[in-house]
Amino acid sequence: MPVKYVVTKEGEKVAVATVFDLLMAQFGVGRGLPGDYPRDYGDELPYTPAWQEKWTGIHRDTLLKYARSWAENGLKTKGKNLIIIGAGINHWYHNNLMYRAGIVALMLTGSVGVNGGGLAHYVGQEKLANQASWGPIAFATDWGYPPRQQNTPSFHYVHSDQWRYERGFSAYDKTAAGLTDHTIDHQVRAVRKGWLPFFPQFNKSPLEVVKEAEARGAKTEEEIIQYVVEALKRGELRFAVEDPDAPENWPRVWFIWRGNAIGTSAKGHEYFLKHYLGTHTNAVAEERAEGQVQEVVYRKPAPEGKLDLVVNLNFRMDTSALYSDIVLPAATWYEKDDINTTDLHTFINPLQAAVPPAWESKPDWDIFKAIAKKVSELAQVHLPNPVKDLVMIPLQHDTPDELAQAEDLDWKKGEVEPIPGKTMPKFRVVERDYTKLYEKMVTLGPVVEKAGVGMHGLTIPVEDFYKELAERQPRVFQGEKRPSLEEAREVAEAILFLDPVSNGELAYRAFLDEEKKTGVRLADLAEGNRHVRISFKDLVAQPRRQLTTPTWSAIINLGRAYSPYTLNVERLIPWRTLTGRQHFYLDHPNYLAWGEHLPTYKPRPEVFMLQETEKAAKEAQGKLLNYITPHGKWSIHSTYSENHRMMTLSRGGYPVWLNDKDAAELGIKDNDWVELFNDNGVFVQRAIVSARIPRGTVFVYHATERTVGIPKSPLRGKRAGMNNSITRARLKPVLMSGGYAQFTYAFNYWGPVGVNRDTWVFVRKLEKSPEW
Amino acid sequence: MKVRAHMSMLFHLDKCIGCHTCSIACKNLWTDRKGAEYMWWNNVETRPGTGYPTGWEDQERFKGGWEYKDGHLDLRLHSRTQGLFRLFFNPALPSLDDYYEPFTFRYSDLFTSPEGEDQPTAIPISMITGEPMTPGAGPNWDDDLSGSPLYAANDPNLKGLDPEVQAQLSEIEGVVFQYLPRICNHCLNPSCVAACPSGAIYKRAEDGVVLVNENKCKAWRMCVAACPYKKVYYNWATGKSEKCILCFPRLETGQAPACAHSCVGRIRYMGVLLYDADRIPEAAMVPDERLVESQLGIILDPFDPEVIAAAKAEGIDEGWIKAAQNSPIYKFVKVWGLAFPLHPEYRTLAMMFYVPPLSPVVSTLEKALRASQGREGLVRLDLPETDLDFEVYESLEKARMPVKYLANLFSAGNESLIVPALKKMLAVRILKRQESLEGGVTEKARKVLQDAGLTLEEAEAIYRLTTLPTLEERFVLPPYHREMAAEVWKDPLAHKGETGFGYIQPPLRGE
Repeated sequence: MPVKYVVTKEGEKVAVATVFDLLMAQFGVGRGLPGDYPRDYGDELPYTPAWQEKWTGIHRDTLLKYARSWAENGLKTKGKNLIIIGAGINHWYHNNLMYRAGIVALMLTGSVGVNGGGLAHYVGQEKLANQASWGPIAFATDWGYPPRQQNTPSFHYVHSDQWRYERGFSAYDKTAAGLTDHTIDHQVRAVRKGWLPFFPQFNKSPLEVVKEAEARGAKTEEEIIQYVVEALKRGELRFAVEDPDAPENWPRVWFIWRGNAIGTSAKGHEYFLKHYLGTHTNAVAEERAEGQVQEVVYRKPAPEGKLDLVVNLNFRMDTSALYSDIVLPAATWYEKDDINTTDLHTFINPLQAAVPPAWESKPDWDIFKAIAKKVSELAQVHLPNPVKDLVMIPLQHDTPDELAQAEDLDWKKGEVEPIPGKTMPKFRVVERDYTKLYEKMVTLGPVVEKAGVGMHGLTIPVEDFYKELAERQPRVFQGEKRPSLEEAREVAEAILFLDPVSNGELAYRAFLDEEKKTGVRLADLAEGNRHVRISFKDLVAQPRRQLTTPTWSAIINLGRAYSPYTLNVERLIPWRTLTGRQHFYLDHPNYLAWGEHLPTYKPRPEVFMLQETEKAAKEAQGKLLNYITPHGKWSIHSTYSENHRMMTLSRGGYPVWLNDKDAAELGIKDNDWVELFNDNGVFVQRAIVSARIPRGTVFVYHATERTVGIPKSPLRGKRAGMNNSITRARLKPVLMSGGYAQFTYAFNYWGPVGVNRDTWVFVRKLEKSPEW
Repeated sequence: MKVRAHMSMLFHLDKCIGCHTCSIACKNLWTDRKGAEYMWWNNVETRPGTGYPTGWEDQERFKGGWEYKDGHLDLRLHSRTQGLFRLFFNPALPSLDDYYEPFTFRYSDLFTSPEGEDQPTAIPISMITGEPMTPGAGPNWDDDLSGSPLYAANDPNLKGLDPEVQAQLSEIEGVVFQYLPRICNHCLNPSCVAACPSGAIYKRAEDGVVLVNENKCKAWRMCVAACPYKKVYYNWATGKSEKCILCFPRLETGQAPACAHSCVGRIRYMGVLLYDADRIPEAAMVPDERLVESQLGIILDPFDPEVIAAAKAEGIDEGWIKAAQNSPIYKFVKVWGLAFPLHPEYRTLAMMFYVPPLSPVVSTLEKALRASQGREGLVRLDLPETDLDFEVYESLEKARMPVKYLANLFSAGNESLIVPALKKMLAVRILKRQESLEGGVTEKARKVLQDAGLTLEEAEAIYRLTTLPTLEERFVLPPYHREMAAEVWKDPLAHKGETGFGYIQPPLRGE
């Protein structure tokens, strides 16, 4: 590999190579250089077409033709190579490597940032286009409070005690550094180094922590924080994540809204039932983490029923609602005002009340207002005076926090001093007046007026628009006239009025900010649309298209379709990475430890490594099949799946799809009742036998409910489960990396994925009709 | 020449994604009531498959459609004499079990279950009896090749295919399926109309829509048996027959039928076809392989001055003639020869048309070069070194969906009609792909167009109408003159004022 040697100022001789050369060496592309390279495409060494045959089952000739077509197409069309991908890859253990493989192929053919090329990520409706204005309202930063945000996979992996049932990642992922510790050890370290958030924060209430600090003489915010840091260093104060099974560290009150959190969103559903709810469960797996963990306290027995109260805002009786203590009936999409945006289309759509909410149901905003109002009322008795809260947040993406950690050092081990915002999380002391909770919820706060709105590192001043909004929808609070957020319609108007995607003048200002950051002329992109103001009424007349703004990454003026990164490629806005470019090479120390600094191949975890079928193997007769949960045809995830129409079109249930030859071997005929089981749980439905299913797999389309047509499991004697009853969540620790450049936490951007696809189950036919 | 106008629909099967939105739109609008639970006037089938009701294409069993023997056309169901004898018992009549027993769920179980150790669930119950049941059939039971060894493998349209080809269709590396959405075909020679002893079914002259007069219907149900497509249904609660009405209330107000309008894939087109009613019988009385040709032969050129004059003489107004001239159906069916009726061998002269789907090349399974990890073989596409884009065009016999299969569906087995249509579609694709790759119309693309029998203009027109049509280009709806229809039996002003008011009298069973 071509290497140059240079001598540094300090007199050190260092080797220098280009990333491209490293990449070619990694891929085994010889280019006529001396070294241990494959001789030709037929040499079965990584990563030749011959080598890949045994992993993919695709003949080398076909692969070569495909690769050549890919290259030719990229060349001739100047980058219109397109990969359309959903979230499915996300759920496999080595998801990051799979995505990188695709992205490398796109990068090498110049297909990123091209209309008709690049990675088109088709996942649900999770893109909030108006994120800059929505953020302050959703997270209350308009009143100056840093929000507590939590990446869900970490939360559930820890609190639902799924960590206890595995030996950890080293059982199924060989790292370059030969690490043998447990996944949860990495989770704990990630929290204390400021890489990931966690809730609860400490082993005592943060309100108590501040009181203690003040009792010991701390007066200012700095002094309180100093107290906390020292208490953590001495071990007097502990992070909750270090002892998650201690009762003081359990989550207690759970509000479930806009998600089937106990149902299909619960990877490891049966563990949720056991450890969160303390109710019946079909999990029989043995705990395996004892003696394997270093950073957490291993309490015995594992606690069950940690939660005190589950409240569900829902418009239907899904599995979560069935298991909740209180259900607050919520209005559906056609019964309330709201706005909707999605990844895939550049329009903003309104939701409106075609009919008023049926029976006792209420729009979401009204439900939360009612709760806030009641809390404010009760606060007058229980928390009448303002209290000080200590908020702990991880190092944040798009802030100077990205410069915090050039090396991966652990203050707990004494490798470095604990310094908030540098080697450990950041802290802020926030004063809260619970008696004013409701008022603040329904009034747009002063921070937006003074500091503007922002995202992705940009700040946009909005003082004039704030004042105009206050005139249009006024609300007087503490003697000031501010914009009202009392009605959902008013919230929608605020979101539209104060965001660059729907306010052309703000798009222009956003580009001005980007110009300052980059030194590149950009504001011309927004000139023609400066006058545009999209209001809710406009959307009602016709959904409107978003505007081009640097808060997102595409140029979409004059009817141009959205393709990510066209702004970066055409107008030279840097990517928000260490180098400002896209990265083939990731130099975070953790990635180097994992051997994933360059794109690489790692085989999937094998079933014997996962240890989810030990007990089940003793009960089973048939073969192990890989359990796959593709996206359902007859539902939108679990929503709508259980209504009459969708049930009629899906054979009246949630069928289990088997390959016809596998089914024949197992003695299973089309529409027979079958049971899927492993140590995580059971699933009982009728089978569909089909030649289109690959051998060795069993498909259950996600997502299912337990509320409709689920019989008792003959194996466990209780109600059979749902699609996530036979899975559990595993985390890949390398994805917890933080504190450095683009490897930093941001909301909905960062953290390990809840992996649940490398799952294996036994399948058997029921001997007689099931019980109900 | 007796010129009549017909509202026709086209299904572009290359675009259908099998989402069933059309089925839901129709169901919610028209058949969401007692007695109609099992009816899907619009249904979507997976092919290969056996459809809904299962095996409906087996006319040996179901006796639908017409037979052409010894120079005359007879209902397969029975002769007039036989019909009289079988008036009260028709062995060919399908029962509810041939469709499916509709089911729902006892959702109240979730609320009313007593306190206990385990979770409740809503159990499935029959919509007919209210009793608990296990679903065993449905309107799309073999969807996406569900139960393929039982259903897809027994698709009657696989008859006559090479056994090797048939076998390949059930191997994962050769598996292919398409969707076939179906509504009533509002045929020119409807066997349902012919079979009704009461004369309760009729075909409207103004637009060809076939309807059941529920006041005349006496529940003989000969129509249910006689329709070879099984698109007339019996309402078990009212005792009357019902069927797709082509959403005539929508058509009459300038809207496309609900199924067409709701279509997510935008596969449906609506338009007027002018036809010669005088030549209907003769068009049905030719050998199988000439049926498509003869049916297309009675569809008239709306630009021909003779046709226009004859149309006007029949009272067809200018607006309808203009609509016929702009009709996307006319283009696909007559001008470009890309669309076909379903099962022309039933001889009912179906007036809804299908553009057959393209499919990729077949992959083969090679013996593993070195057995490893229990794989049965490596997947290989048999492709040339260069010009990959032309491969399917050159080797249509390698397409996954066998041409013979498509011919059995759409041209009474006559492959020579299907091949030119597929080649034209492929030629358009090649033209556009070459433009994208090479920046313009290439020599290679020109040659393919020529070979396929298309001019550049035609190719562009096909591309536009297939890929980029606006709503108005897909649905070219004629101006219905409601005032003219009304005045035949009532004063139109009185009709306007009184419609929707009066006494409601449900049809009485047995009357």
